[in-house]
Amino acid sequence: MNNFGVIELASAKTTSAPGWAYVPDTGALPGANALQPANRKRARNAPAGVTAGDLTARQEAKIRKEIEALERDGGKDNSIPIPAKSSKATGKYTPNVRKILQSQKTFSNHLDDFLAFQAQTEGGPTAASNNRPTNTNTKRPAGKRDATATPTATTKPSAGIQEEDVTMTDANLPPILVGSYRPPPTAHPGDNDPLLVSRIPEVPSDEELRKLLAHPPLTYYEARGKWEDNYPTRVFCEVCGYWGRVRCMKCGTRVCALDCMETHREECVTRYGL
Amino acid sequence: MAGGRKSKAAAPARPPNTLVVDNGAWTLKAGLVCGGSIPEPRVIPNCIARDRSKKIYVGSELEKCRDFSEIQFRRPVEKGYLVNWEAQKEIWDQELFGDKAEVKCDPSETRLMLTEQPNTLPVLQTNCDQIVFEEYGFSSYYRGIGSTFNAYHDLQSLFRTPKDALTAANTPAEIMLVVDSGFSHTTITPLLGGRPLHSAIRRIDIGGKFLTNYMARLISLRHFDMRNDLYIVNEMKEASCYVSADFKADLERTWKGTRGEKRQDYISGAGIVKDYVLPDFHTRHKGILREYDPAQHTKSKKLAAMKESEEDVLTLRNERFAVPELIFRPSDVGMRQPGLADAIQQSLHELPIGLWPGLLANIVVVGGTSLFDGFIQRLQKELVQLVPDDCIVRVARPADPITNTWYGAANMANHPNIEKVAVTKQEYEEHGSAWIARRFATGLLTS
Repeated sequence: MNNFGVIELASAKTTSAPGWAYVPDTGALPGANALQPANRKRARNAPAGVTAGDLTARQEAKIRKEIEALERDGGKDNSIPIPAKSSKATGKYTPNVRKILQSQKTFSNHLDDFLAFQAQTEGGPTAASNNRPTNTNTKRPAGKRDATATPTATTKPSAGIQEEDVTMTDANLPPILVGSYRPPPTAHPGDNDPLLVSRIPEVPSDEELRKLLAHPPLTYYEARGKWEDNYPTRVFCEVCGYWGRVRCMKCGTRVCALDCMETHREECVTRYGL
Repeated sequence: MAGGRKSKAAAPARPPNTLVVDNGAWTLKAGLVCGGSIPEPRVIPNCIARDRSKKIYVGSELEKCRDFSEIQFRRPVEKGYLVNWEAQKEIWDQELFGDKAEVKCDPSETRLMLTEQPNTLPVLQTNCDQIVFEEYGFSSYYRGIGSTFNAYHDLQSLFRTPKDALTAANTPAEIMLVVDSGFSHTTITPLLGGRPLHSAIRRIDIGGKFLTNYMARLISLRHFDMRNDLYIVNEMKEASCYVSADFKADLERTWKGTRGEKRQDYISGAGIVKDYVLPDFHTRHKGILREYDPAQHTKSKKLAAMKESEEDVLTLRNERFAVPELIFRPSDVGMRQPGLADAIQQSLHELPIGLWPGLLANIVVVGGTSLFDGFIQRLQKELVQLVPDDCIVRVARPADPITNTWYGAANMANHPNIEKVAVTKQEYEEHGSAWIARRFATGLLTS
C-alpha cells in the first residue's frame, strides 16, 4: 500500500467515536425519558421550573448570543476613521506613545493577553512570595509588614523602591476610624435589660483594617459578581413581556397566552416549518 | 474645606492649576481647578460620531449634529476602561488643548487628575501613564479609582443627618459605600477614608449601554426596527424608563389579558403606559414623552391620524420598567450575574461584620444610570430585606450623580491628601511607569 512514506505508529490513545452503545435499562418504564436527558428535538420537554443549570445546549447558546449582542456597543461597524489633521498629526512621538496610538487592540484583546500572562505566571505565586523577602531591608517588624507591603506583592518588587516606607512605622499613623465626635448618650436604667440591649458588632481593629486596605486590587474577572442559584429564574413572554406562562409546543419559546402564541406561531412556522 | 492647602517647604513646587478629568465612556467631565475656586465642569460626549451623511463629529461637535438617525459612534472607552488612545487623544486634543477649547491649559504647568474604573488591566494603566507624561508632559499627575473621589463631599448633609456644631464636615468621609452605575457597568466600592477596600469591590456588567441595547431589542420585536438608532433609543430610555417599586403589580397592570377579554387597565393605560413621539429631524429634533390617551388609539382614530399627521408614535408599556429592572435582576435576560442588591451583599460578606453598619448607612449612588426614577428607593428596599435587621440602610443620590465624581475629585485637588499621592514628571522619568503604577495602587495607604 502506498502511504506516501508516512509510517503509522501504534497509539495507545482510544478515541470515543460517535456511535451507539448498549446502556443498562435501570429506570422504571416511565423513567425511560431519563435515559435521554439531552433531548435536543423537543425543547418543550425541558423541566418546568427552568433554572439556568438545565437549559438545553441550544437554548443556552441562544441566550449567550443574545447577551453578547446586548453588550456590544453601537451598530455594525465601529471603524470610524479619525478625521485627518492638516499637518500636526505627523508630529514626533516617543516610541511608547507611537506604539500605544497605533495599537488597534480592543478591550477583549487586552483581557485575553492578560489572562494568558496570568496563566503563564500561575506557577508563580511562590515566585512572588519568594521575591518578597528582598524587602527585608525595611526595618519593620515582620508582622506589620504585610499590612503595607502587600499591594506590591503581585508586581515584582525591587529593593529600594519603598524607601519612603522605611521611615514609617505604624505607631505614629492616625487611626483609620476615629469614632464618634459626640459624647455617648447618658445612661438609662433599662440599658442592661436583656430585652432592650442593643448589640453592635465590634469595630475591627486598626491592624485588621490596614490589612484590608492593603489588599491588592482584584483582577477583572475576580471582581465580577458571583452568580448564585438562589432563586428560580423568572421567565417572560417573548412577545409581550408578561410572565411566560406557557411554552410553544414546537420550539419551547415562552409566551403568555393565546394571543401572543398566535403572533409567535407565525414566526415559528417561518423558522421551523409546520 | 478642612485643612485647606498645605504648603510644605520640602515638597516640589505645586503646579498652580489642576486639570480634573473624569473620563467616562459616555461623557467625559473636564474642568480646570485654579487655586481654591472650582468651576463647573464641561460635560463632553466622549465619542467620535458619524451620521448618515458620513459627516464626522468629534466630542462636543456632536451638539451641532442635526440628524441622529442611524448615527454611529466610536468610543475610546470600552467596558469602562480607556482602551483606544488614538480616538481618545483626538478628543482630548480638541477639547482640552485645542485652539478653540474652553478648558484650555498648558500641561507643563498643570497637574492632571484622572479617574479610572476599578479592576482595570495593568497594561491599560501603563499605557495611560505613558501617554500622560510622554505625550502631554503634565508636570504632576494622579490617577485614581473614580468612586473614591466621591468621599470628598460633605456626605452627611447629603443624608440630611442631624448634626451638632461639633461635627464639621470632614473630608474624606470616614466610611461609605459607593455604587457607580454608568454606561458600561455598575461597580460597588466600599471606602474607608477615601481609600478603596479592594477585596470587596464588585461589578455587574450592566450599565446604560446594556439597557439601551435591550430596549432597542424589545422595541424592534414589538414595534419597528430601531437597532441602528441607539441614540434615539437612549433618549427614549432616559425620558421614559423608571425602576418599578413593585414589579409584579406593574407587570400585571400592563398586561393585555387573555384573548377576547381586554382588561380595563390595559385600555386605560393604568398610569404606566406612555406615548413616545419619535423625532423625525425635520420638524422635531427631540422625542416627546406624553401621556397615553386611549381615545387616540382606537382603530378608526389611528387610521385617520395616519393620514393627517406625520408623527411616529411608540406606545411604551412594560418596556418602561422592564428595562431598568435588569440592574436588579440580570437573570431576566439569562445573564448569570447577581442583581445590584445581591452584589452589594456579596461585597459586604468580604468585610468584617463590624464595618457593615457604617457602610450600609452611607450608600451613595452615582453615575448616569442611577438617574432612573425609583432607583434608590428600590435599592434601599431590596437591601433592607437582605441585611440584618439592626443595620440602618440609607441610600442617597447626589443632586447631579453624573458630575459628582468630578466635583469630588476637584475637592480633592484642594485637599492636602493630593500632595501625598500625586507623582511628578521628574519622578516618572526617574523611576518609570511600573513604579508609578505601584505608587497609585498603594494610594493613600501610607498616610
